[in-house]
Amino acid sequence: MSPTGPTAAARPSSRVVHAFLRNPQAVSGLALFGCTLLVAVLAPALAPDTYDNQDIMGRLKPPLSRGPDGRVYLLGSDPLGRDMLSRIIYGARASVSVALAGLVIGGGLGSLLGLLAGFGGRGLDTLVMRIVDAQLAFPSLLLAIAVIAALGTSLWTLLAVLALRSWAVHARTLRSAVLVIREQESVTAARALGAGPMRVAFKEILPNALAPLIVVATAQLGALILLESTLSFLGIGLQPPAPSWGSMLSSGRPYMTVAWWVAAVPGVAILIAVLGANLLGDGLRDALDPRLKWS
Amino acid sequence: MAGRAPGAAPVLPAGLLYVLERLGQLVPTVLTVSLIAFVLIRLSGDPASLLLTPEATEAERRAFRDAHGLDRSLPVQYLVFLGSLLRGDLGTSFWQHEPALRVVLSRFPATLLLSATAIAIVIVFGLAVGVVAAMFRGTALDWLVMAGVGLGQSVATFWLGLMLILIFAVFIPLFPPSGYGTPAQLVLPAVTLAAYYVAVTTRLTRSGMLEVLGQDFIRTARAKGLGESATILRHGLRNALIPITTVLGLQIGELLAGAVVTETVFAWPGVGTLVLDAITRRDYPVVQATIVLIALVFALVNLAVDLVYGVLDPRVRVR
Amino acid sequence: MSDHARVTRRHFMTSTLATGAALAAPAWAQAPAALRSVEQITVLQLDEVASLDPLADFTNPGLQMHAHILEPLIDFTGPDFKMTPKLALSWDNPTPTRWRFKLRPNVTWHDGTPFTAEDVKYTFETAKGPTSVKNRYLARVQKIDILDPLTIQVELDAAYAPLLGSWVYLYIVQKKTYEAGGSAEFGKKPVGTGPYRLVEWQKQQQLVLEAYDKHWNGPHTPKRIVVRGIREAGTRLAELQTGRADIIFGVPIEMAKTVESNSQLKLVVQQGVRPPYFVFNSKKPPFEDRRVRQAMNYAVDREGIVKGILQGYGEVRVGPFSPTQAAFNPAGPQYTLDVERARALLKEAGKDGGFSFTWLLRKDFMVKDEEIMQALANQLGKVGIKVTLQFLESSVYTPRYANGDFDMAVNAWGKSLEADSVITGLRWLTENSKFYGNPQVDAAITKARATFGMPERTLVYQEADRLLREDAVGLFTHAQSELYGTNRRYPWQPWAYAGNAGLLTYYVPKA
Repeated sequence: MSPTGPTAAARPSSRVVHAFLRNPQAVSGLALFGCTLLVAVLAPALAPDTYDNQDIMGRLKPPLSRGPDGRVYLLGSDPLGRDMLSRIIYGARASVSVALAGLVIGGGLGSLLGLLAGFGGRGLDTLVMRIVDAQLAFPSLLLAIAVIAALGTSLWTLLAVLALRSWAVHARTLRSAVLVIREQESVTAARALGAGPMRVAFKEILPNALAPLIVVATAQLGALILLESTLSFLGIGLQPPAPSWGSMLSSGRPYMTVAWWVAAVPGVAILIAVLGANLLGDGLRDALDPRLKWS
Repeated sequence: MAGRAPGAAPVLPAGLLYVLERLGQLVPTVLTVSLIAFVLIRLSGDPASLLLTPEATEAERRAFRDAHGLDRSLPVQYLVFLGSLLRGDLGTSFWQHEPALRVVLSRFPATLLLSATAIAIVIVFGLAVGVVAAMFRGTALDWLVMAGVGLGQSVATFWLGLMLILIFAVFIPLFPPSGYGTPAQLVLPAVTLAAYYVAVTTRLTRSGMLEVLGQDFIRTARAKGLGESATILRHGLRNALIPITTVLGLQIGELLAGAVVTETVFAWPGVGTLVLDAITRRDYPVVQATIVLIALVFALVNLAVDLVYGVLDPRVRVR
Repeated sequence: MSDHARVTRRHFMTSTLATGAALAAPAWAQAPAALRSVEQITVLQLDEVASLDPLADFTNPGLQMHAHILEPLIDFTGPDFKMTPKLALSWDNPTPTRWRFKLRPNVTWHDGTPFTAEDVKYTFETAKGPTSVKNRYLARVQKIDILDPLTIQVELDAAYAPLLGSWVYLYIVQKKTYEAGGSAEFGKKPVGTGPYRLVEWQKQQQLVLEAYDKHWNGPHTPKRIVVRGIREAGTRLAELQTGRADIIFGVPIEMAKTVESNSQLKLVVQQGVRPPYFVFNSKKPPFEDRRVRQAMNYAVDREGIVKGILQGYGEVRVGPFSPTQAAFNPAGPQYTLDVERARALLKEAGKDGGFSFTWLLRKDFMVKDEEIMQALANQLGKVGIKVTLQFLESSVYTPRYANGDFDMAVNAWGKSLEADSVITGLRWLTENSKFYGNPQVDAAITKARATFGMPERTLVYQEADRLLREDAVGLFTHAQSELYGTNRRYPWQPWAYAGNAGLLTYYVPKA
């Protein structure tokens, strides 16, 4: 077992950063996802138009063409005459923020449950892990669809579904971390000295669980963006006129023979964002703890 | 990885006991899943409104519900459902007026065909390309493969499907864009479905092979006097197959669970489109039947994967 | 009393309700030889048939089959909805609440047994039952009496002149089979009197009908009709293009040109047959104020929808009826696009600061529904009205709509014959509506129901139309067209039945 006690945690950051920067995939991941994030944050400044400025007579115009009202469609226009480029930019904002929110909620809940499972003795542990197993025993997309069908399409159900997708892995990771670290000397020492479990949790466990947690979280990010896109594509994710890449793609589907860009371009955006997130996640994992490669 | 320990995977005679034990564990899992499905699908939506006209009065709707046993309390309905389940009766579809089980099973062949083809593609291409990439590690070819892997794991399945249709059915009319019946119609959907898993498998094969190329295995095997390439292949692949089996095992379940998105994009009449439909129509019996069957399939696949483990990894077996 | 007494069949026949829209005159008469040589055709409907029991399935694909296998007492067929006696040869009203039908003699069921009044009585009684999807049509029926084997008399609880128009969906089932096997069996193996009988049905695969050679109107062509339900437009089109289908439903607008440019195929268009009705909840603010409702009617760009989004495959609507329908009142408000007027009306109503609401919609309720709704939302936004669109699955939507649990919602009605069924069905009568009530409209309809002469009744309906439009009961936008793809070897033209332009038969109609 490689040391993960406090001594090793003392100067990991520079080592990690160097390892990360030496990995070209990791850097490209950072670049790609970083760009996506920047676009999401700076959307109003970057987009040439708003995301719902319709012009029915200017619908389905090809990239680099002009609409009847004079505006330029750099990436073409969608079936309602809205500028694709602006919608893609605002779409970054929509998709990334929803995915991040879902990750935070799911990750938070999952981590909490994992902590409880690790600390809480056999009963609680078994219960939580059984639920985790039961959930993993089911295709995630079908579960998402079933939940949305039951609760209706809304932003909250979407977030709930995304959280549902990611909590289990977080729970499992935190639980493993807790079980490992629990037996460590520093922890038993701290407990012997009378430190309460919460204090132990925050001072000893979390810092050491941080590495696998980061790895797991970033690995989930790409998956959540894909899940949101898929649900929006099926019509049960973000509702129009919210500019989700998935629903943009779906709106372009009937027009593939006459306006292929409407369906093609959002998919490229999804690809870039998810690829970036995945590469970033892999890079972080390799830099932080190559052992986790097999998980 | 699922975090399941492979368990005491024994050699065969005790194995039978093990299999039975595992089969026994299936039951609570399937029951839990069916309960969740049962509750979820009833949480909102009212099939009476769907199957009667919008002008039906409340009295008419009540009568309809009464006739279909929907008026009783939820726990009672669940018990009724369980009772029939034990008898092998999964109810009658509200929509088709056929036994739900029959409706679901009638769509299985299409999904099975699609999944099996996709799995075949995954195994053949994933393993082959993974081995090649490992053998040519560090070259441009390897880099190309890894780039493909990265893309394959990041692409949205529905987008890939649409792009394949665009390129190979619209721009270059090579394949039909959708539908079910001819082998040509199988190509695009199978490729779409397989893409992500090919990427994963390639990556795992490559890593697995690379691990082997630097390990004691080779030394030991060479000491035994085997030829180098045979050695590499046998031990390398075997080593790589363990994580691959795990991942594929999980994914096969997902694949069989009706690759909903691929089926939607290609209008493939499989279990995936059926369950989407049924959820839309609030056809409770069909949704329940599908979920129960899928859970069953999943669990059986996991069992099979564990058994394959036993065969593949001697270390596991000895314990 | 004397006005209503003894209204005879002759009276009805001389005053048909002509809704005759822009439907082309049938080309049947022009190519008899070519048609008669076609033995078998394949039709691709939009969805699978659920059940062949007309009392269990009221969806379009099923209805299409019921119309071929079974028959009602009276039907309204053809482009101008001519009243056509089917299983009832004549009828009269001994009193305003009593209807007496003389049934057609020498009619046999597909299994050879004779058709009698027993079958009609049984059908009506079963249709009135709780699980029947058509029981509202029998709600007014108090008593059913068999006067002789071919005469049946029905007693209603009140005078209801539009009865025949509403009974077109009451297909008569064979008592013997239905009684024995119930809905489940009859739904799989129906026995009817119609021009076609069921030969084979492999669910999810195909349904085969064969012309019934002992039909009272003689054998029909083509001899065999194969029906399949295919939900994907692309697949339907592919089948048409490869010659494997002769009639397909729902050609997407983008594909219209593809069909037209193919010399072997023909695009058949029924213009403006299916309007969406966007209803206001007039019992909730701000829609209580008719100026707000009128303002919204002035704010929408109907031309843009029809020309831009529907590429011309649609018809502008400013009221519940098409300008080509008899009930349409030319003197009612026209609601041409006038943003300034919209703003003025909103200001009058004290809403120039704008307001917001949620629009409840049923998924896939019309062609290009998402695009059209987004366009409408955008246009309303320009006069300060912020719209949130909420698309719901049918089973979730319907109860909310029925309970009036919405700000605005939508319903759809085919271009059908009886104005009464339109107005009742759309719940614009105080008696059945949770979201609208107008005593003047109620009075008009009540009067119409007691008016047994068609021309007089039409005038009353026109009055109702004017009232409804002035009161802006709904937001009227357009009516979409139906596009069918056909193979020129079977030059099919739409021949409507049930007084509904959206329902069509596949066989060559007989005079």
